[in-house]
Amino acid sequence: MSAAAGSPAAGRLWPLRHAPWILLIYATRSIAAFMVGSSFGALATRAIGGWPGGDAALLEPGGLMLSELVRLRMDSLLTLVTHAGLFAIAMVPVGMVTSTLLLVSLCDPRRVMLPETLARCGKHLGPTLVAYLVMTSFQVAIVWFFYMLAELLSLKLTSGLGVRGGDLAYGAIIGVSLIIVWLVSILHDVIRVAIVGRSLRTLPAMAAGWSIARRRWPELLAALWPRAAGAILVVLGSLLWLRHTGMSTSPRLALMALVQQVVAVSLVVLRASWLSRAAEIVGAGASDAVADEGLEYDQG
Amino acid sequence: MRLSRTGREALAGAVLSMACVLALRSLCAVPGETLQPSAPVTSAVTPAAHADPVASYDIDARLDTVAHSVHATGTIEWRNRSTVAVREVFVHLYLNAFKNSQSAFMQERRPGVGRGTGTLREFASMDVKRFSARELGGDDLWKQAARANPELPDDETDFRVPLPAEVAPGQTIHFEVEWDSKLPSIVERTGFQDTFHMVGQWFPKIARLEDDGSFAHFPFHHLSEFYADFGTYDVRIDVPSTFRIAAVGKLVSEKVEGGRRIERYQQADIHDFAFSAWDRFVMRDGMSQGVRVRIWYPPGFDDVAAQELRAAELSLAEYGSLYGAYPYEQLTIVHPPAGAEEAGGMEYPTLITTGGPWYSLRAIGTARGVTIHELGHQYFYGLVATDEHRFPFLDEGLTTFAEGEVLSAGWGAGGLVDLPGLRVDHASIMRWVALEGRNAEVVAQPAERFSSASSYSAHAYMRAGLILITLDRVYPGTVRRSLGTYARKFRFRHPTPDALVREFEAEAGADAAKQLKTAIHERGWIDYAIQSIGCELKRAPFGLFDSPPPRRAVADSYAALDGFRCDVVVARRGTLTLPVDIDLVVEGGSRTRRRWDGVGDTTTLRYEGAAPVDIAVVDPEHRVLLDEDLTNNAVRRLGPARARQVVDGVLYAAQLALSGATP
Repeated sequence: MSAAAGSPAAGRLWPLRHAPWILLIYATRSIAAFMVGSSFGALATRAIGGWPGGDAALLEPGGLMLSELVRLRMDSLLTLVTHAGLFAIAMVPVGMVTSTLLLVSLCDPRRVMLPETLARCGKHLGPTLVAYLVMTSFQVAIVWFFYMLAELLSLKLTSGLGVRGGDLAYGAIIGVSLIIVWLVSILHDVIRVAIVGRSLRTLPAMAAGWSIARRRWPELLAALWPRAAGAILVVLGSLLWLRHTGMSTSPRLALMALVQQVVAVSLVVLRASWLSRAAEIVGAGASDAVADEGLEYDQG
Repeated sequence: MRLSRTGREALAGAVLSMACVLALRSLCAVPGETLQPSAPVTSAVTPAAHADPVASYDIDARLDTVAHSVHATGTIEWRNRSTVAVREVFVHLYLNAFKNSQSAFMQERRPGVGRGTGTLREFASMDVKRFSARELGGDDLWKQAARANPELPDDETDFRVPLPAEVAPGQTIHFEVEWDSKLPSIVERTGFQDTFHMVGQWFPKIARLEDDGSFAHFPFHHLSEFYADFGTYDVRIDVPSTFRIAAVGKLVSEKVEGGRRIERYQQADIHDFAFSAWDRFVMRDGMSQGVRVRIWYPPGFDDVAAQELRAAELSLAEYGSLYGAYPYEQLTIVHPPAGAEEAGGMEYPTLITTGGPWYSLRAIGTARGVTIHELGHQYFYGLVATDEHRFPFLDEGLTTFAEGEVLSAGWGAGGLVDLPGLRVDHASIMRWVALEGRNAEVVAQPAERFSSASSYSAHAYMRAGLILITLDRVYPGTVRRSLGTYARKFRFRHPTPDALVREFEAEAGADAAKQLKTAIHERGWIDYAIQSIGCELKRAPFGLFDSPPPRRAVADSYAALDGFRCDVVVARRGTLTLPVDIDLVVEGGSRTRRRWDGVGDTTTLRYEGAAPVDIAVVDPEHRVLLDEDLTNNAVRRLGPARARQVVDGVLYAAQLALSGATP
């Protein structure tokens, strides 16, 4: 068992030593996003770059030029959207590497040197990948199961509860599946922290994660709640900003771009903050488990 | 008391969640519906107060809600309004369109494409038991009735009934009629779904008699609607007492006895009658412009019903201002339940049907769009009773234009979509659908000639509307004013496209009318484009000069004079010739506006000034919405401007997506 995890200093976000990894996550996402954005931008430039104001015409009330662009370039847009989706999938392993690097940093109170960080990241990537595949498959299965259940019950729900009641019940079933998926994603994070913080292999980490989640679910939920709500709030705030100020002038446009990037960084910071707190809870949970059940953790 | 860390986090979570809810509410707030009535269309024409009654129906109808059938008896008072004697009448039994697979309707429909193409779980039938004329001896004339279209031997929707004696011009006769109508499972505006009944095209209807003594008779085609003479309808509807009725006309009496509800509806100056009956209807009502508006809808649909009621109230005011006051005392709206969607989106005189799920969002204007469109048909179909079969664009196209007027007045640029950062109006969607039709068919052609339901929609609805809005913008206000006059002048009449063109010509002139005719009859189209911008520094003259003699050679001094000379070439493709503005944006931002009459394939605009032309834009105010391609309407001399907002927006969206998608 690593001496680091579980100590009061473990997982504290504020030390600047985590900043490079936070910035790395932000940078990789931003580069990927920029590549996607540039493709769409090139398309729009060719289509309406001649108009005064350039692509500002796309945001004019009424949507005339926006609908014209979509109408005339539908095939290209669909191709770009498909490529963007595939690109997002291709970014999953990249995200796994960068977030594991961050976890290595978060789970150790010491300043870990780059070679050691990379080495530990490389060591944990295998179990992390397996855990990702297992948990993601589980999440997909949950959604599929509840969707099929809702479809099977659809007619009965409508005949029993009326159209509106039936639709609401259908939505409730799907909503329950999404809540379960969300809870599973919390468990997934706990497992990843256990893999990195406790140097566990996948199965022991899953067992430990499940055990900790069962024992410490109030702490986990309470920890995630403000961070998730904060993430939603900053995104909504940026949209409200857009709605109220618009992007009609270059300064406003530049300011909006700045606000958006602040939001993007904030999301990474909030995620890091959650993982950091999860590392603390996992550390405390591991101590409980050792005390209560005499669990021995594999040193991997 | 000091909270634990978990408690503090939960408290922070609760506060932030509340902030999220407030932010979301603020984000989703849709501006109120603030109708800014358009300037009323003033017209010297006073609309007729009443129609000339030609075919009036007095009917007793009993609905069997288990067998889904109607047994009815009645009298049709019919007058030969033509200038010649007639020895026959044509009678439409349109419910037989759903009798078997061999009807014109069923043969013409393309499986899965458009309305009326679903599987019929129960077929319909319409059997005339008696059809006699008091004044012509009283014998049953139906024995001699024959299918009227030899080229469609299996179709039973259009019958010719020989008369034993001539009916002189102006003479009125009374047909005594008895019949049974079996409703189909819900299809194409009529039928039943569980206990919901939409009873349309359910009675034998005499085809409209034209001035020359010919009958405008036609089978029920898949894409066709209807055409009939005006008259007075007096209908007593008998349903189980647990059912509620929504019907054309004014409810004049009602009683419940013997487990049956009997309601009587009367209405003059109309040309069709339909009703709906259901044992689960909920009703709410309102008043607008002195008209009682009632909406009948399924339980749980209160919000969408409120949206439709509000849209109807606003529409009555706006349509009244544009096309003359709505002349009836009531308007009935039926919102069919789930599963009966094909009964929705239809118009009858004083009754319209709408549609949409209970969760229809106010930010997405589907519910109001359908309501406003169908209510527009009270004018273009109901009051101006054009031949929907022969010239469907006269009702659908004009109504689509009128719908846009009301949506613009009530909801501005967010007429159809009003989301944060995205407001889409009716004109943009109309243009999209119209141009997706590829201008493949003539707008002013009969319904059954359209190759598909989507083409019918693209041309008869959207392209017709697009033509009108284009002309109204190019010749400002002329379509609006001419439609105002047309709607008033032809109220309770049956005009043809020529009448519309004449009214437009009176407002906009012969050239504009020529464009309208080309657009609707000859698939007229247009595409403006900036072909090139070329600028150079003005220079001192050089070369050979003969004046004043003798010839002398002046060498190029390469000396620049003050200013630039630019040539902008503007091109027009297509068969329409519409005047258009061209903006020349000079470096530094100043603009010069030029006008081109559109004649010729190209025009070259010469500009001389201190700075070169940076951008040229043809039709900068988007008046020519028929323009096939707006992306070629503007060119920058030094190459297109980079789409920064698109890059920023997509970058941000992708960052957010990756935040959720990557571990």
